[in-house]
Amino acid sequence: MTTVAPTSPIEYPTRHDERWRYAPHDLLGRLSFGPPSASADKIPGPIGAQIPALDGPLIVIVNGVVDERWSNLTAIPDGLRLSTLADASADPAVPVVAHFNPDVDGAADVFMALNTTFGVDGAFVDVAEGQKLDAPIHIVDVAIPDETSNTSCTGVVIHLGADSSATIVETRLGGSEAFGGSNTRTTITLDDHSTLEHIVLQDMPSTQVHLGRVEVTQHAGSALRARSFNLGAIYGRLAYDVHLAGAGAHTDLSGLYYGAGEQTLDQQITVIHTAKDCTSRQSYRGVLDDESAGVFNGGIDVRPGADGTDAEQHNDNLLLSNRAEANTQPRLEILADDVACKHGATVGQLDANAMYYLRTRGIPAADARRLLVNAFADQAVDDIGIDAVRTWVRDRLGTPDA
Amino acid sequence: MSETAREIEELAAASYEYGFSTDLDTDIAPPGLTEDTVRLISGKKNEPEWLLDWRLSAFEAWQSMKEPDWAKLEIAPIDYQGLSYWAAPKQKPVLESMDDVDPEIRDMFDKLGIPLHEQKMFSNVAIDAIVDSVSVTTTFKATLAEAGVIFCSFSEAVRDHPELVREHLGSVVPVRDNFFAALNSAVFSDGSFCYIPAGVRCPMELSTYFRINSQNTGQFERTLIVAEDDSHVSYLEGCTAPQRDENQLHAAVVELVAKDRAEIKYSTVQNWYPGDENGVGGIYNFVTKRGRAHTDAKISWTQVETGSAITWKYPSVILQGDRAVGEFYSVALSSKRQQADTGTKMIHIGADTTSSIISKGISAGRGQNTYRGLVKVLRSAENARNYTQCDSLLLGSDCGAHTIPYIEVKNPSAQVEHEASTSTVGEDQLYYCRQRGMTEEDAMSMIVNGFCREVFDELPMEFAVEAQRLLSVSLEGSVG
Repeated sequence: MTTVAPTSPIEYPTRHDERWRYAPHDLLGRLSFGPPSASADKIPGPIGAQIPALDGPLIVIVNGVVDERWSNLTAIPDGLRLSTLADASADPAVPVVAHFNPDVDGAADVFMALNTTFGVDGAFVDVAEGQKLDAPIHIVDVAIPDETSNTSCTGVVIHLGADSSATIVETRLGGSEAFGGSNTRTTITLDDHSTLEHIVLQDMPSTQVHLGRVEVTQHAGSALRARSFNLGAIYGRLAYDVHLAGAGAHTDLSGLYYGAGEQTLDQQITVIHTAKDCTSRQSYRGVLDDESAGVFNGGIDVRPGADGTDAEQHNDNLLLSNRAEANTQPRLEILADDVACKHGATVGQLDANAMYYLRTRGIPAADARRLLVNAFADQAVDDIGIDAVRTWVRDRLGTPDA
Repeated sequence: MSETAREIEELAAASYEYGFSTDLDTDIAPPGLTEDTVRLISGKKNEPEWLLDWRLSAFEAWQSMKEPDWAKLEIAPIDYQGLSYWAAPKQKPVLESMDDVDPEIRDMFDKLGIPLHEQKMFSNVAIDAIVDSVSVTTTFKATLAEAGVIFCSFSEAVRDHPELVREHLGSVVPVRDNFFAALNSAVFSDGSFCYIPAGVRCPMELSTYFRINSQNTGQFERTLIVAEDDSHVSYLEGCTAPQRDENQLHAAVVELVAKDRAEIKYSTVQNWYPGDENGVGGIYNFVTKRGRAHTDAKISWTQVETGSAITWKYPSVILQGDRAVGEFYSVALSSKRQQADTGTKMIHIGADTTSSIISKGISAGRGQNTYRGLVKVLRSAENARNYTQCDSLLLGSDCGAHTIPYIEVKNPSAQVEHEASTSTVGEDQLYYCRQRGMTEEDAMSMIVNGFCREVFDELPMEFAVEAQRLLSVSLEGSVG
């Protein structure tokens, strides 16, 4: 992978940076970066049990370097190139760099620069034109902090050729309880009329930080269905920048963040419409318990000339404790006139009437509460296309008890 | 929409109806802002020592502050040292009756369509007219005095009711609040003061007309309204300004204090010179408006913003007492090269506090219109409730509409809802109206007025009429 030194002196974001307004800046300051250390023998056993078992190719990245022993790259179907990012970068026939998106909305930040500087490996997925892949591709990123650099950097590059389709699951985990984190950058290019289902499962230990970034460029008629589950980490951040660059592209982003303890779960979503007749949907739900905080900063940017845009955005939050908080900022920035854009945001608590109703039916308070919370969260879980992932998320959500 | 381009061109070409300037002999301080300027202003106004000290503390704070840059506004650098901070019309300081008002000033108001000599016909409205910085005339004082209401210029209030001013000045907007509030606190020229005693319902609508007249003269009004327990007041503010090529700076501060069970309704129609279609001229309007609502009190802001080249304005309510109510109704129109970044802040502190926000933004020409709002529910605000609705209408392909709300909730019993939409006037809507025999202009006017209806309904009668007139003037020639 090409390494690019940061062009300007490293400046950490502050509370005055809109996209980092609610982040725990003290924790960010404690993250340290460096070249990846050798990861041999490091992967702890219990991690295996945390990884959802999917039928399909598996690539496991530990501290920013692919670990072949854990990966399963034997049954690669025709029309799919799945390799380490290091291998792909070394192959002159593969234009990896061409897939890195230009910074369309000026969202580049210091962590992206650090990722590009210190990230040397990751996964590379290239689906050939017209290929329809059935089995999901699973990319697992595991961070095991060590003393020299406690934060791993991983790159994932995904390219779908015209008229192809694929399903990709990215699972982000941590391999120890020590402070540290992972910084991942996923770059997705969807050629004309390709279709991608992309799922992110973030379940880092509650002592670690996760900074995840997904940059998408969609060409004409392509469709993205992105689902994110922001569940773990003391600070879990999932940023999506989706650029609808070709006419008639469609993007459908949804996610669930479910915080407890002292977690801060941050979603930074921007959809940029530059082409005509594109549609976008954003639907994010937050459940916040204990002293957790949820952040949703979602933007719809309609650039001049993007006529026929149809964009919607929803963010609903459920506060379960007196000390939990929800911060939501649904932005609309519209510079074209032939558009229909809507957004809505709500913050509330469990419906007292519904609780009462369930209790009169003999359901204990704790169970009633769980039922209602699950019903709220389930809107985000219900439409996961892969059974094993849906089960994994349901099991994971079943644990926070009332 | 084939008609759009032409509509917009015509809209942009519609001239500023109130673009004229009156030659008034004014007493102007040399440009520049130093501690001496602050002392000069305070001295000219014969202010007490405590007020000078207060101004100086604001000036000191201002010097260490930076102009805010987070708004979605492109502003040419403002040379604060190139402005003059004091201008007063040379005329008799105290006037016995309307007839004593400078005929030139009277004439100016005539052109605005608000003739002073006809104001008695204005049903029950007292007007405290301000030209540049000094209050020229105040009327209906007797009726108000009977009710115990104090309504006078800020300078008079400092002279006659220093204890009231001292208690409340800066209590809602502290000197260090923001760059423009600090600037205003240091150099404010004059403004209005209003005090409603406990249990009194103000017998008439109060209104003030601000007017910028002198070139290169910033205007820095200060308005303070105090409504004691169980009182009620409705205050109207309207602005128009003559056409000028140079940008004029305006940084006002409005503070409202609504004590227990009191109600303050503050309405604004703002129609300052917006600059021409190339963005030359126009008023820079940086306003800090905030109210504090105590237990069971209600503060309601209604604004119709059609003027100014730059609008930076966030009328806010601190819902401090239990069951306090805050409301914000706004129509903002940006055409030509106007830029508006406006919205509200609702800070819920007390239990069972409620707030509602209705914002309608209209963008035309090359205008940029941004709604920026904050709804903050603190931990103490049990059962707080907010409803926000922000709608934007785009008329043309070169304009922009932006909605940037912040919602911060720290109490689970809060119920907060935000809804927004952005759309254009549909070809089908226009077609439908035309099919029913309406002209395109009438159809457009009806659709736009319908879009703003919820806000216009909140305005007092006279202002509702003026607001609709303003909107149709702005849209005049844009269609048909």
